[in-house]
Amino acid sequence: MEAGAGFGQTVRDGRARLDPLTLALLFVLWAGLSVFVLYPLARLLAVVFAADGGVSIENLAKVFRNTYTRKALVNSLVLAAAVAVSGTFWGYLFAYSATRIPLPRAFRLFLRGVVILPFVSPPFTSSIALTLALGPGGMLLRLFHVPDLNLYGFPGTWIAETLTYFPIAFLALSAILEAIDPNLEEAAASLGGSRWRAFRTVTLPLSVPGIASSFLLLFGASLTDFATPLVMAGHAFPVLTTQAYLQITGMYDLRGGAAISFVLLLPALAVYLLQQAWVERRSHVTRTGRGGPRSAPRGAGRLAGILVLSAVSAMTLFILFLYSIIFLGSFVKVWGVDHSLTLKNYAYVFTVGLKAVRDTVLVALAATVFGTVVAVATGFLSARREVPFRRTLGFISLLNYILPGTVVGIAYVVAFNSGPLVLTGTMTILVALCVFRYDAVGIRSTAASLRQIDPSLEEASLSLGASRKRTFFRITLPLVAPAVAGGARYLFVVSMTAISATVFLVSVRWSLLTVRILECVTELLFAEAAAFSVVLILIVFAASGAILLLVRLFAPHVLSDARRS
Amino acid sequence: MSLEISLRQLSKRFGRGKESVMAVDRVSLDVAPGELVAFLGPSGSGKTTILRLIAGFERPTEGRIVIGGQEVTDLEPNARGIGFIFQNYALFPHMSVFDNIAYGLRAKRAPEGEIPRKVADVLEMVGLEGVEKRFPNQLSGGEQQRVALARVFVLDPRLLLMDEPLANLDANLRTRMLAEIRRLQRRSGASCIYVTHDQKEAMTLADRVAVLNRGRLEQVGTPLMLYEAPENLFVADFIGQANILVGLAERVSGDFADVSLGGRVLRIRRGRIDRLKAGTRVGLAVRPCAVHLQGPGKETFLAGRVLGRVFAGDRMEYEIEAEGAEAPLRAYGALPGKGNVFSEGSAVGIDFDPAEVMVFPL
Repeated sequence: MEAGAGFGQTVRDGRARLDPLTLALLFVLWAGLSVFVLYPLARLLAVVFAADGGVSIENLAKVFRNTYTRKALVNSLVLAAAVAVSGTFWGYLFAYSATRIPLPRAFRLFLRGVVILPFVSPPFTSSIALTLALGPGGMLLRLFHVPDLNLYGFPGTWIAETLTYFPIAFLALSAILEAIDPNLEEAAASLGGSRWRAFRTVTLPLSVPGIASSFLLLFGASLTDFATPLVMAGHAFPVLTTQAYLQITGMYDLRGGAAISFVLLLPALAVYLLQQAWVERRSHVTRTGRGGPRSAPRGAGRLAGILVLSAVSAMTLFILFLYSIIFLGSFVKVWGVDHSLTLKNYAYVFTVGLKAVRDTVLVALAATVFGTVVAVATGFLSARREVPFRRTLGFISLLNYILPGTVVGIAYVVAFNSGPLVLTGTMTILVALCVFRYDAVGIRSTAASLRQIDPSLEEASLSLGASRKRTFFRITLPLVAPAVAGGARYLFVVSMTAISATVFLVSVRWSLLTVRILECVTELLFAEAAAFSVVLILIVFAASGAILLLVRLFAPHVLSDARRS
Repeated sequence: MSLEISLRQLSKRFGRGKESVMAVDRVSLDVAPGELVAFLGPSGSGKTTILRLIAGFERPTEGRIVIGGQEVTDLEPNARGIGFIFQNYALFPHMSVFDNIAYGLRAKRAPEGEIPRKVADVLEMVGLEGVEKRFPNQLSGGEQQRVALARVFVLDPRLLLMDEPLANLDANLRTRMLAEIRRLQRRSGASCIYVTHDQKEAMTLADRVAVLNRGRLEQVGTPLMLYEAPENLFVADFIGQANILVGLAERVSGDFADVSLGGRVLRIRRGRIDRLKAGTRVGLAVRPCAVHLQGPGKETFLAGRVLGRVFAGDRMEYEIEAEGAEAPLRAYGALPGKGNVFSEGSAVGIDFDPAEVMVFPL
């Protein structure tokens, strides 16, 4: 990056002057988005709606004529609703415990830690653990001498998805519950209401926007989930994502798979838009901005508190139990048959599976580095420049993130298997997918963080004689470093754990850990799958720590409270 | 080291077309080497924008900026050799006090070995020793202000630009820092432009004051000159206080004007008599100290009624509803026991000290 062009020229300047650097960035960004977002989507639409040289809805009609895919559509929606309800329920219990019940600080942190676990785990973790615990020959079954619990199908998928996704509800709801001033509950109590009444008439109604938002988020997550149903649902309970996958990989019917994924696209998009609308309306929650003293939460009544805490503790124990099963499972010979301890599973991971480990880390690293540069550049453009079509640019950069992974994966297959740009089997396609699908988080947080930095800091640097380049690297970048690092961490984690889209794009040349886990599971090599999972989780933790450490080294003392006076 | 600054027909327009705003409108001004000029005006008068144009944070729509004989209009801010003091200090939150102050030295590639001594010297100069390792959020407002000054003075700027530097301090601290800033500026010998909306600050600090209104330069002069000989009604009203009345110019001669007001005629010798035309409406400016209140029954210029009064320490201040005046008049009176005191609602006679009344074209 050369110093000449105007880093730091702020949007205070009324006129939009597009300097050469901005123009170059814009050009690169639009080119990237066109090739890796718009083009695949256009090719997908073309495949779905083209028949016999004309435009037709015949392919879609075929989907709806097939009773099996019709059933999959219904199943997907029913499952999503069930997961949304149960996940929101558990999320609310956890959020209420963390924000409303007086608990020791250590226990509170412990709760949050447990809740975060599913976020950094490969997508199959809860499915595998559930299978090891409650599946055929499972640990709990043997413990309680239950012959067999038919876990596969709806119940297993439902439980596994609830376990995987309720942390999303927890985050959404604890933010809302934290924003509700306990004074309001005290006011209700001082007016003569019981604690239960105060909860029912004040706390619960005020948290409705959070509940709705969490419901929609979970609905979307379950609807587009691919890994869990693939392991847990089985043939008796087909859902859309797995059907699209099987249509393509099992029957080599790209057109049919594309059509099924298109059916998935509409409800997913609708849920996203609804959720956004809810978030916009959330503002009527009691965020007054008035910094008066807030009383400590009064908590629930004794009995209610005990009930909630026991439920939360039971769930926490269950999650820990599942994770320890994964851990233990990775050290036994054959789960459920021969429980003698062995390291052979890890030997397997680091011999047969080594290529997958290496490829995954390489892809994730490349995506993280590249995506971070893109996030900084894009965040900078959207926060500091008046560029034409900014909103359009923002929406398109989010598009792959909003769309179900299955849709994006199939669109990439359609677009890059043939035509002017063939990328099948390359690392490029995997990296591009991760960057253009998951960078949205980093772009948003970088832009938001930049908007919070007073332009006078950059101006001060310039007036002290620093060049625009020096200003950018010494002032602007260190101040947004935490946001950039947050985006990078997210990008790395999801690049490591992604499956729904990448499963279509792996090849002999480039294979991924999650796909290897999937193969192990389908071949019933659960111990190996567990070992892969443990290795993946460890890598993710190590990388997260490394990124945090980098921020500490690169930008110590970035104190959020001092940014704006 | 100081240099002359020259603004030539400087204009800045924000936005385009119908919604554009002329923030700075053809301002020309020269600041002499070592001089401190205060830019004074209400909010939105364009004073900060001019400062930002001089600093190079904004580009002028038209006009030129010359510093020390060198045209800088198109130079980057870092090539202008200015020191800018921000209203919010703009200390870098992620750097220690030492690194904040060393920032400019390092940008200018000063030998690393000299930096600690220079930082220590400048901290001593601003009266803030031993805080090198602290971070901005560990300092009080006054201390942050001193660090901001140190960060600029360590570079020996030839030109100081200050944007309401005291606005975030409490009243006591403000008085102290005002004297401090004057001392530091004199000592460095830098030319200085000081933006403020507080006329007391401008009057005590500045060699000359430039009064701005709606992007235009209304008048430049010494504080005394602005008070004694304002060029127009805005300056008369904004500097000190003035009661503004509207009258009719009956007769205009070389050095006086007869102005009628509420049926009576007043002969006025101050203001811009040279610009008046007989038979036109004119504005009168009367400072509160030139308004004399009399008890009822005496023959006075105007008659009025007391709307309200406050005890202001060394005098009484009155608000008077007067015939011929649109807004209430402000007047000063003696303290109880030392002269006439008027109660609320009572009728009063109003006289103006003719030597103190100024007249301007409207």
